Amino acid sequence: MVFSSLLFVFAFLALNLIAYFFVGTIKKRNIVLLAFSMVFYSWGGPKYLILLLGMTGVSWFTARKIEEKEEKKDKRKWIIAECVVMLGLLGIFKYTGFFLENIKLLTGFPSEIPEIVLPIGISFYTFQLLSYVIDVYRGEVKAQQKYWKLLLYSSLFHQCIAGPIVRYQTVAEEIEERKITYNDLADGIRRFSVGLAKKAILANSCASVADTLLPAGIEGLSGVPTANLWLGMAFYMLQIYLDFSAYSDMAIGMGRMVGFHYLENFNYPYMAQSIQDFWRRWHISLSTFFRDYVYIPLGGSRAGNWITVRNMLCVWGLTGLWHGASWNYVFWGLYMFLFLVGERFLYGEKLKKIPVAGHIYAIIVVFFGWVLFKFENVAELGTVLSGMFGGGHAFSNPETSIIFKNNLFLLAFSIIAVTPLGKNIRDLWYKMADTKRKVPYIMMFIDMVTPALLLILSTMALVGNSYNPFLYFQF
Amino acid sequence: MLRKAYEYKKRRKAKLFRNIGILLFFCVLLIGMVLGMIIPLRPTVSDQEKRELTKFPKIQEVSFLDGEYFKQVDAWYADTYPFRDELLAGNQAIKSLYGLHTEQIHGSVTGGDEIPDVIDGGSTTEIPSSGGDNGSEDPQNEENTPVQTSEADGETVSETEESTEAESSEPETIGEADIPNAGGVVADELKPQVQGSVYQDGSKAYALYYFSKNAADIYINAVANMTSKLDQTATVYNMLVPNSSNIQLSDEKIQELAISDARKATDYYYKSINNISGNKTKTIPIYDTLMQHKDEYIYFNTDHHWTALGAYYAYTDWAKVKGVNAHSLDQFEKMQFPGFLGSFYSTLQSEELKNNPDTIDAYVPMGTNTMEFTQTDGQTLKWDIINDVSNYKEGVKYSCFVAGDNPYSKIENPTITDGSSCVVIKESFGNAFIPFLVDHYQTIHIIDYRYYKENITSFVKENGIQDVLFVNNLDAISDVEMMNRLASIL
Repeated sequence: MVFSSLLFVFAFLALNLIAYFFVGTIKKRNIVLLAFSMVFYSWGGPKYLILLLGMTGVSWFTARKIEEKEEKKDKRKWIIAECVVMLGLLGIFKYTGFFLENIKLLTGFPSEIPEIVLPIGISFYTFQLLSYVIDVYRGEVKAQQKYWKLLLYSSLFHQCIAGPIVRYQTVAEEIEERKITYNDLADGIRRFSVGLAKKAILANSCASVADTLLPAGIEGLSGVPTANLWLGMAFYMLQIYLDFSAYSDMAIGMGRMVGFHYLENFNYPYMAQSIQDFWRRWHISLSTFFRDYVYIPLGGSRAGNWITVRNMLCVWGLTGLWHGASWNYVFWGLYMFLFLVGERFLYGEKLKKIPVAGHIYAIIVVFFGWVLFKFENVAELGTVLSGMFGGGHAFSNPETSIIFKNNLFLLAFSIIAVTPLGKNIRDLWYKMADTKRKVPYIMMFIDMVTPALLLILSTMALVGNSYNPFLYFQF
Repeated sequence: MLRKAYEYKKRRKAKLFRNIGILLFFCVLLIGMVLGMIIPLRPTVSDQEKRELTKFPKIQEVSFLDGEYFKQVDAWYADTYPFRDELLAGNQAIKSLYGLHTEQIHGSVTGGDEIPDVIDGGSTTEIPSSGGDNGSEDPQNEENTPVQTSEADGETVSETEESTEAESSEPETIGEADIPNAGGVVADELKPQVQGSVYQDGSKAYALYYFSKNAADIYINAVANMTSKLDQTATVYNMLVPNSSNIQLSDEKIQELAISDARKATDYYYKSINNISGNKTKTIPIYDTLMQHKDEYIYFNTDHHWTALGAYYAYTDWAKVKGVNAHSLDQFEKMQFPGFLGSFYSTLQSEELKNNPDTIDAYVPMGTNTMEFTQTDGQTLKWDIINDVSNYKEGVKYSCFVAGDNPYSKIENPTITDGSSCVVIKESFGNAFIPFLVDHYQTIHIIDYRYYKENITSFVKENGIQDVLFVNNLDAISDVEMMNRLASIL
């Protein structure tokens, strides 16, 4: 089930909230959440539920063992076991095909590559469970004694299948005890409906324009004029942010409605001043995961320049690979690595001195990053890149200007949506009201009707929308 | 206002607005939930999209464990959500705000194959008959399908005549119930989609014509071969109908959209056919005639077909070639069916088209207005040649002509007794044309080559038919797969 489906919104979520508020105690509420989460996860294929239950079981067990053991040595054994099991399973389900394909390319064996279906959300919940056990190992958080409560953490439908990667620390206390205030409820509702509309209206529309301009397959792409490639990639760039951040918005919003406070996952990444800045704003829960569990344990940036570069290479190679079992994602990670190294050692300081230059630079680098990201097939990637700079493609065709005109306002609105403009206006309005000491009725009214209105608009969009997959589901 | 008083008032108001906001959201959510639960409210077909909606999956049909079943439940829930068409219309209104929509393109501007020059007459040029693969598309998705197949649940045959009366008492008959569920006709066929790319300029849309050399050569060989096979038995006439994009768009637009030159293409077809058949096929050059009338209402705005008026001009050309006198338009009784939103509208769903619906003029043949047709399931029905479609849904009104597209239909004109007969081999462009032929033959056989399964040459010989007339749209015969099918039954 995806958040942006009518069944989810009007059947699953509605029933979930009713059941949740109907039962009184926190324990019952947790049971409600767990039961709904089980149904939610099963919806994508009941057989993969076993994997989620099993991996949670292993983590629950090892974390308790780690806490029991006095000796560092013994603790270490268990944490290694945990990492081997978790990463092993992730590796088997996610990378076997990719690995064997490359072996086959090199050696000719094996002749047949098994097709392994990627269980939904495995990349996300594996990382959540890992972070939990490592945090227990580090003594930063106490091990959860109850299996079902840990399962609630790993399987909670808000974030189980497409992030954000919530740390156990963040919600440990709230699993045991949480309060829902009306302000939280209102914030959660607003966040959820904004996310839903962002996905159902903006991201899906951008996606359909991008798909029109960038047809699938090498044959289709080789005939696409230069201008269409640029325009198509621009829409794709908007789509991928709107899509993914919408999912995080909805997750954060639904959490807030029932008293969970997840950390932000995006902070207007397209406003970044550098690539380093971009990664502080894009999929924050993933970059902090790699920072805390890979980069810093390897020595971070304190052990000399070469070690730093090695550590960065590790992190960005892994970040790329995490996004998908395909070389283009690895290239994409390494591409980011190059610019990050450049910023750190070569031009980072200079860039900061020239106004706006940093922002333009970041946008351009990110833009071409998405080209790498979008095309898994190397031949397609080559066609698109060469086509973007002439490469035997016509400059434009009649479709170019027509599609541009047909989607002019969508483009403009989507661009505004990726900037903090709306948020800033709202904040400023409230502030001005405070200084003038006049109650901002208009803004309050807008805030009041927005969620309901967006829900209605999203419903209309979803009814007619067969096109709906979340991009980040494949990871 | 004092700071404290202001803070107090703001907090109180903020609370009020916040609580109403929460309430509003939950109201919408609850209404949505309740609506979603009222199964009887769920539509089974969408008029707007002209298709049957997803059905609730049966558990034994799809695998349960890998989530396929639930995926279909998801699809069913969203697809059949109550008030689907109204919600879709709302969404369409939002989408119209995405940009400037005076011009739109659906599909891609691919450009056609180059049209070879053919030298007139003389040598029989060898034309390869092999089929390549050029933009073939599922033939089932194309064109208007007969509405009458639909005339409810399959018990129709004998009741058709009564059903006309029944209709008048029950003007809403042509609704959801007429989605054919008998005879294995699937809902996909009901989609009056256009097969290729569509260009919309303001309130009128055009199907873009792209020449396919492979498809053309199959057609040419097939028609020429049939002429040879029927030498001394029957005369073969061939008429190719250009698309509105060729006739009514400006030269600059035609060039910009890389539309193939219909005149040159027609030349290629006609000359090649004659080169092979030794000038035995009678070709009917209607391009110039239509060009002369390009500013008249000869093509629909919201549909890819020509109007009866366009077909009438072509008919006068046919009459010249055949050597008979064409009737004048005012000799016919005229019927009008306003409010037609055709294939372009269902493809583009554009407001501009919706605001510019077509009116179908239909001319009732003088000799008779009765025909019979055989459906894909083999049932034979009696029908009106020009059928009153006033109460039909806006999207299917083109089926007023000769009962729409059926594998085989037959018209007997009781006022002619000379034994004259012809067979028309056509796709849906032929429908608007055939009524004008009625007053020239005792018997007209109509074959839609897309659905007919027998051999047509033997049919002509067995029935002693004198004239064979091909009436086909250039774009429709640019599909290799379809042309292979045509060639296989000639």
